[in-house]
Amino acid sequence: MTFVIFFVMFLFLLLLPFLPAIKELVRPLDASPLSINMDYSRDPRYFGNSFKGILKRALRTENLSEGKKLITLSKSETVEIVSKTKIPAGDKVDHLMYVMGNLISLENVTLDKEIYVDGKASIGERNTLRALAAEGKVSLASKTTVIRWVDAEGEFIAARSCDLGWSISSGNRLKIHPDCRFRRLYGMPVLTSDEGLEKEISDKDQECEEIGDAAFISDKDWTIIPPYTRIDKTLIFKQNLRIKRNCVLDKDVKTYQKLVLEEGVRIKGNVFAENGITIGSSARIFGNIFSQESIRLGKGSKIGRAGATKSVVARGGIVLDRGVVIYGYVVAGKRGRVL
Amino acid sequence: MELVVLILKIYLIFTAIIMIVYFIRHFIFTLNRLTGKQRIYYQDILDSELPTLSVFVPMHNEEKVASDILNRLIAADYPRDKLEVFPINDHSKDKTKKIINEFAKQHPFIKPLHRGKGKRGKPAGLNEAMKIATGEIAIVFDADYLPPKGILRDMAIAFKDPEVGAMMGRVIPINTPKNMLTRLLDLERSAGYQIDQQARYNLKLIPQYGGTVGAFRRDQFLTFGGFDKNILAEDTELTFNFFIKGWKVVYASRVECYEEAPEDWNTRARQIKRWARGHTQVMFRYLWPMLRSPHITTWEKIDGVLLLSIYAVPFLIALGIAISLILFFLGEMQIFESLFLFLLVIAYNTFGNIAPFNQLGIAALIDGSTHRIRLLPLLFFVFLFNLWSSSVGFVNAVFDLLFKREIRWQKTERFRDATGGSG
Repeated sequence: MTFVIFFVMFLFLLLLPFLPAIKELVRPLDASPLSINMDYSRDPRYFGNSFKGILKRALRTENLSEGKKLITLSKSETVEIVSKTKIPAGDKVDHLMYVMGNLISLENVTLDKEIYVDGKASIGERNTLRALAAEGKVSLASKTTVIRWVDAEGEFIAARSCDLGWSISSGNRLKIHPDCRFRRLYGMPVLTSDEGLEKEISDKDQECEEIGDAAFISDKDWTIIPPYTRIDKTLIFKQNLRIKRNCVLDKDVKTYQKLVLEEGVRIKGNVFAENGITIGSSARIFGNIFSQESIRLGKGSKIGRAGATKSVVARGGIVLDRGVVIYGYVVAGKRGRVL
Repeated sequence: MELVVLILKIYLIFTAIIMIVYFIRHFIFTLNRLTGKQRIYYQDILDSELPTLSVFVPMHNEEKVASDILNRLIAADYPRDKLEVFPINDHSKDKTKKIINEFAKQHPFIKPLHRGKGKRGKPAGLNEAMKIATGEIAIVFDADYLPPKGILRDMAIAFKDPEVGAMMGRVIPINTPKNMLTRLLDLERSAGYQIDQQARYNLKLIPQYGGTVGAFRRDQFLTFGGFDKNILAEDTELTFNFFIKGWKVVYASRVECYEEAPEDWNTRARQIKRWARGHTQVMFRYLWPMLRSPHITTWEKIDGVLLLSIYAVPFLIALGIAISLILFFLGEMQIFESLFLFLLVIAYNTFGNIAPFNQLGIAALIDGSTHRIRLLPLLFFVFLFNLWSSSVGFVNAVFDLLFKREIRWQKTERFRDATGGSG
């Protein structure tokens, strides 16, 4: 009898770790495949395009009349349809809005839900805005906070000290003024204010001397490429790299450490670095810029070119000085800001 | 007799050291995913100037799945003028040829390659197709894969980095709920990609190009002389070829693609045996060139040795277990004095796998799919199963080396029904 009891106990203890597994097999709580969005296609204006599509499908927009409606999005929502509107100072709007004309909000307005504007949107000072999609131009007055995103088919302008939330996109120019903070920007182009800057950057190459590797100056930590050097091969360096002023690189450059491009450097290819990238004033990069740390773009630097999309992507922060022009997409893993 | 016992004891200690080394390796990977710096992939780079792509889909009797993958590639958002798709009909005897030809009639960018002569197998088929392709970047999908709409762009963008020779995406089983095996394979895949590959990418070690959901520079590949038709792990071969020549392989966790995992144990055993055999063939051929390469860092070399040897480990452990039994019956098991050492060895032996226990749990946590970790104890049986299958594959590779045997490619059986569902 003792033997049987011990044998049963032995079997029970042996099986004990497997009981949760057997339960999960018999009555699964977590058997679905991990989810992949099969229709996902990279779109820097995804938020705006997606919201407009969902809202218009829910409203069936052919014959809209003013008033409030109940629609079902991810849950049941009230949407207010207006032909045009001017929201008084200090007001709070806690429902979706569909504006068939232009939208104007005065100062200190809080827009807690998504807004669609078929015309232009002019957002007043110190507003708080959850999300906005507009078919026309969008302007944000100073100290406005975007919680999630804004997408404008027309031009987008943010005045000083705005917090630009998760994503700002425009089918046109996207201009942001000093002291604005951002995560993602997309515009053709993205511009920072050029107040106080004197000159436009030329697209022409300067006269440069072509040199071989032997002329690079290297110590333990840094390699330095002398000023006015022209190099027509891809450069990959394991250490820090400083490219002195007015050099021209015809191909890509990559470093495993920091990369510093001084004033007036021109790179026709892409720029990659495992550490921080600092780009000097009036530098001209025709390709993408990618850093596993942070990126700083100096005054008047220009990235990409009209008619093509390029990107500035950092795992960390991105700092944009005045007069920066980027044809395409800016993505900061942490906070980006404009000086 | 004393000398034999001494040799057996030394071997047992050697086995213990191997297990501890791998245990530490995978523990570091897991810690890195939990607390380390996570390097990002390039998917956020938007660039209107994309490279031209040649997508290759090797197919041998793939009538159950051929339409699905071709339909998915037709739905891809990559610019048509920069895309060509090569379904490689490799000696098929079913309706694969007919299906491919019907697609090609309607879509000029689908360019079938029908192979009826020459050596059969994925490496031979890819070699032939690579020569007639024109794309700058080669992308390979196995026929059972279901690529999402935007995946080609996300794969191609890695090659903006001038140092990237190849990239690898993440494989996710679509038939997870099917049975116990598919559920356990899902856990293994999670650990292998979510922890192992991503940690190796984070730590700048050797992420592996996996032969499917992967891309590489076609012109560089051609300079390697193509794949060796006698190697069963063309993916591992390609990985080390790129590293040895100074290129890097990057891993993209966000580039996800569904696959069909094997649904029966025989199919799975054949798959592991093929992987183990092929991987070990690559070890024999590339270990020394890798160690001598001036382009590979010391840490990459250490990881490279451990990666190349990974399918030798189950065989060495199996031998160690057999020897421990012999020593036990000889009354000679007084080897480990340290409790710590003993516990490490036991931990690996009990829960060890190609993707150990801790990795699997943390992978499920990162994926936000935590209930499935209740299946973890069942991995003890998978460990035994893998121990056997991998050991057979390893021994086969040793025999291949010794007797210069001719290799025959073994295709993994498909389980999907004609309507696109699984099994």
